[in-house]
Amino acid sequence: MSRAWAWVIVVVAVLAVWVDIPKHQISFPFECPGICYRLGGQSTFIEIKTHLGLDLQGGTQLVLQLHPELIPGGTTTSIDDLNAQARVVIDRRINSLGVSEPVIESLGANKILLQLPGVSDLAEAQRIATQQAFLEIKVPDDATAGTYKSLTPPLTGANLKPTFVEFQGSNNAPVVHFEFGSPDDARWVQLSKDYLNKPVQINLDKQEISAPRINQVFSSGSGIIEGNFTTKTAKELSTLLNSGALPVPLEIVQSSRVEPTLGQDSVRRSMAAGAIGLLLVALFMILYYRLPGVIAVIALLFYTALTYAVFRLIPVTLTLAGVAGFILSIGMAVDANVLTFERLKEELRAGKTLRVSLDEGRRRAFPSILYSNLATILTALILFNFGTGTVKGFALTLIVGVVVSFFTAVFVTQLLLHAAIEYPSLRRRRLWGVEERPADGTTGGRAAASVTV
Amino acid sequence: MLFRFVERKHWYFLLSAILILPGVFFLAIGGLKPGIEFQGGTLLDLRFTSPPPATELHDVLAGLGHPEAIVQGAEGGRMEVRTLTLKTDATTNETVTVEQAIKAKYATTYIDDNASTVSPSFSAELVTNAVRSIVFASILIVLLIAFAFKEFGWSAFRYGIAAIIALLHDALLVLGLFAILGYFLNVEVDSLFVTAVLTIIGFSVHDTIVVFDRIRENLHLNRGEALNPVINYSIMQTLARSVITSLTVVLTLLALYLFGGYSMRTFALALVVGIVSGTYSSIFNASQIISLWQEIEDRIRHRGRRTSGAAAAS
Repeated sequence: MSRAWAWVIVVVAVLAVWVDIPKHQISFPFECPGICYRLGGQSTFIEIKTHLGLDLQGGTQLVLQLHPELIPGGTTTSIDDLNAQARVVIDRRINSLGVSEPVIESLGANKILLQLPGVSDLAEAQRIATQQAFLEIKVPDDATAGTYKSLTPPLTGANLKPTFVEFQGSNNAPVVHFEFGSPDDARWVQLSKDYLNKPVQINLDKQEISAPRINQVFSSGSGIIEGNFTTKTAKELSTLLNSGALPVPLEIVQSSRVEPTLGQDSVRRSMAAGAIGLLLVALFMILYYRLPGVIAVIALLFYTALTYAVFRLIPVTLTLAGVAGFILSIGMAVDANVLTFERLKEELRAGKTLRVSLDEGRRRAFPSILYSNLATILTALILFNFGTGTVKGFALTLIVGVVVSFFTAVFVTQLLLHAAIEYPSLRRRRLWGVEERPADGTTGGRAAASVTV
Repeated sequence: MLFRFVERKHWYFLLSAILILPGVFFLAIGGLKPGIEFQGGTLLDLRFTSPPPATELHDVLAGLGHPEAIVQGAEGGRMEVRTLTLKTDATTNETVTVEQAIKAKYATTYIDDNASTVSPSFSAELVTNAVRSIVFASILIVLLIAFAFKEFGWSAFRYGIAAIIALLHDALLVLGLFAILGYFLNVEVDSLFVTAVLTIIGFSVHDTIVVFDRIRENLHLNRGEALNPVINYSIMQTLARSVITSLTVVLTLLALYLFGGYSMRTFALALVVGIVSGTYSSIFNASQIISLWQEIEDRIRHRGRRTSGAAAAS
């Protein structure tokens, strides 16, 4: 069994290192920098890279101008309220793209300042920030053939339930599934009776997306939006509809790259400091625990490589708060090792053999490790679910870190410890941090120098 | 050698109270100062032909009484400076003061600037959500610990509750410290501070569970032994681990505090204090609460027996 585990760990380590290496240097054996797969007509491409937050890497800044004068029919809502509402909608849209911790502030009353980490897709960011996402269903205008008119009052997406993307037809084309909430659902059903066998027009921001023919009377408020969508554009539309329409037209008045909020210099120094700290920890572990300390450091290296790989894969946007979660999880990974080693020493001092001590040490340290890690994961899960912004990012890195550390500290360390005792030269008591002679002093000479297996 | 961890518990409780109560006082009078992220402030958009280094600009702002300033470089020679709201009244116009100071210092490269008010980028929602999550998580942690220690029956819950009290101890100590720092030195708290407090809470529970698990194991191995001595040597046995683990984390944080950038300082300080406190409370408070609880229960039971005994005699 332990041989199988050894292989699992080796494979995981190789994969982790492969993911960790920047792909612009090595892309063998795959031809794209990341994960690509093709299934039928679908092809997906996930770029693997480290996502750094605004505080560490900087990003793109958009300044958006509010245009309340362009609201059809004017508005009675104050500019401050419009600004606040628009910020909520933008925040929702950005957040549904993943955990990226944007900065969204009002800049004076009539502007919004939006900062996004990285510059992966500026065009997408601009669309997401400014598209109003005002959905309206129009019906054929009998006065002029081929044109459409609004219902009175207009049937809009104001009461939409959450939409989602589904795939339809023989070619698995992506479509957006929507459902009207009350009272629009009744109007939707009524519309299908009134305009049976006629086309209705689905408009987004006054532009037709599609004009499907109604073939049957609907039984519920749900329907689909077809169009020449790719999976990506369908998801984007779904996101926009789910976040609600912007209450006011927005215009991008400035778009520029910004440096990290922490300052380049500060980031560099903090990273160096973190490295020094970890080096000190490694040094301490080796000096204090000897051979098990060396093994713990190897397990920690494995841990760091694996966690970093997971961060790149999910992807997790690393901010300083995320780094804090990472440091905490390193502390807990070290702790799991310390707990095991302290137990190991106790068992060895009690005169047990190395092999028995290893197993006993693991068995008795396990509940502490399990329950303390469970408590942390529990807290982090709740923070992730209910938290916002920074707190969410912190919780995510902590969850990843603790789960990985549990794996490395329990499996990897144990495996390495068991592998080490296969070598007679590594069985010397001093290497395991206990006194040269057993407490009872029954054995002497060379035999006492190594621990009985 | 056996240190008397349990017998001297009242002294440790007293020490904790002395450390925490001043902080609680300053918390109550609003000593905790929210930073720009929570308060909003002024954004100065400066343009230069060639921008000065961000750290240098920060020093200028700090010299004008705005050490909280966040300086961020942008494309096209622009520097954005966020400060708490620059005051403007009959006698002073801080915006003008700051503008003139920068203009004077960078006379050759300065082009122009533009000041505007910015709203908070983090809503109060962030904090209330975090607090609500912690309360919810605490309840679940009590249940988790009660489950882990289920062999103790109903007493298992007191371990969970003691862990939460230790958690409150550590969180209050750090919050209190920053309330005092905020009151006297105008140290502000930002979203990083919120994460620091969350980290401390995570560590606190972690530390406490390790000690409790040792008590559980020892009670299991030595059935019938009195609680207090078992607690004493359980703490003794986990002492090395508690100290070593927090030492390794403090080592990392100390490096961050000493060599890390300006904005890392308060963050690292909060974490160091919290983690030392977490280790202290897991050694000197958490198990002592269990002991105290048991003693109070014994006393009540004893008194109950005595009164029922007296009733039977009459």
